[in-house]
Amino acid sequence: MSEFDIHDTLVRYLDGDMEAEEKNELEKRLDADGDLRQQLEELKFAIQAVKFGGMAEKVKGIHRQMAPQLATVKHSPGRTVRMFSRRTMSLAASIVIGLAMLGGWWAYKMQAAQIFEDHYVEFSLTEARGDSGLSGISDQFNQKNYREVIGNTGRKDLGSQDSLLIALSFLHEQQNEKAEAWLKAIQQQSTDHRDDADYYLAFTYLAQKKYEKSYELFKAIHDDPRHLYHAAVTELLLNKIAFKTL
Amino acid sequence: MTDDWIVNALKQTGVVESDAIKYLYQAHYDPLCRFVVQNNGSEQDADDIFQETVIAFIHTVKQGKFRGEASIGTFLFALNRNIWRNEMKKRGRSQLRETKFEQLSTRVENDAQSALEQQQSSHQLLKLMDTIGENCKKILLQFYYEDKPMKDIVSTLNYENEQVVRNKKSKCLKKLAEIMKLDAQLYQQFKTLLHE
Repeated sequence: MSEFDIHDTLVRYLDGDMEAEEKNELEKRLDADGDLRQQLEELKFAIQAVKFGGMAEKVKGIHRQMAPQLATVKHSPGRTVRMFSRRTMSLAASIVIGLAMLGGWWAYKMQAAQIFEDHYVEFSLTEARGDSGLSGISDQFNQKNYREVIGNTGRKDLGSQDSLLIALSFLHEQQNEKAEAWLKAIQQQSTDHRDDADYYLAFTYLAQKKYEKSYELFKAIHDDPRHLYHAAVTELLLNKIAFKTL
Repeated sequence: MTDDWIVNALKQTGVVESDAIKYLYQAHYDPLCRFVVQNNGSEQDADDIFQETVIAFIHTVKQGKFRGEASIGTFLFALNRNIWRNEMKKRGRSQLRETKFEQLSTRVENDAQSALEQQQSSHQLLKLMDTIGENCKKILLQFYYEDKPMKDIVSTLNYENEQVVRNKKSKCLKKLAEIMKLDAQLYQQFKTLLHE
């Protein structure tokens, strides 16, 4: 039996893909052959590694999907005000009300760039810790070297996350038409990052002052409870953009 | 959701497991992150440490090592604190203000410490998984982790037939096994991490 055949037999044994007679024969060989037992252990170990890797990747995926909601939790005023006394809260409320009365405030908050800044949630690359991938683009993005990220556009080995990071780098560099083109391509080609592309394309339209397109896309995300960014698109954001379409 | 339901769900894969992970995030993310931020961590630190805590916890559950002597919340707290304490040591920062926090039973602390030790080699393991190539990784994950039937893998990954996928899977597993044993010290660490 060749080396490949032995290996293949061991894999079929571990997969439970073997007739009883063949299984009995193999188990006899395993009893007698220490090297074969060692090979079997190594394969078992590799399978456990795959299962662990699958679980860790799933957690990272969910972490990334929930990032917009988690960011909302972290920055929720309700969470912060508990740290202060009732008196401080009253004072803070008065200040907020006072500010709200300032005539220029509303106009300022309603500028496209301000809406963008108030509501934009950066794509979370938490896997950069210990899992930076092979392309190096994640590291460049994490370090906010957006021009370096853009320099990867000609590469043939780009994964869908790499493409997303390139699109977001164009957005950061205010090259909005290119960001739009990359995000549209991701929407069409990627299943892993389609929701990310929807969300950031809506912001790209906002940056380009294409308010109707931006509203349409944000509304679709807001109305779809299964969309990853469903919770990140608030009524307030929708109302602000709707106002801009008037 | 009860702790028992969550533990049982985390022992599975698929949608049930995902729901349980999401629940862990909804129920525990905020208080655990606040702990890290209150102890000299940034929001990004808190976010990263929480993710590592969840991975270490699920691994502990899947190995049957979560005995339920403390609630999930208490266990996660101990684990999160240990991972952050370890990170602080690496960075040479001061100790945590631990007097503020409840003392947990020795056994729970030991279990949390054991999960922490496993967590440390998990990063290296995930890096190794990347070195076998994207297609290999997908086949192995779909077959062994997602438990997908061969015919589904054939269609999702656009292979000619099941035999082609079987051969490819076999080669990929061999490749991973060989890469894993290249570094003897790392191999021992992985064994500790994955030993059931």
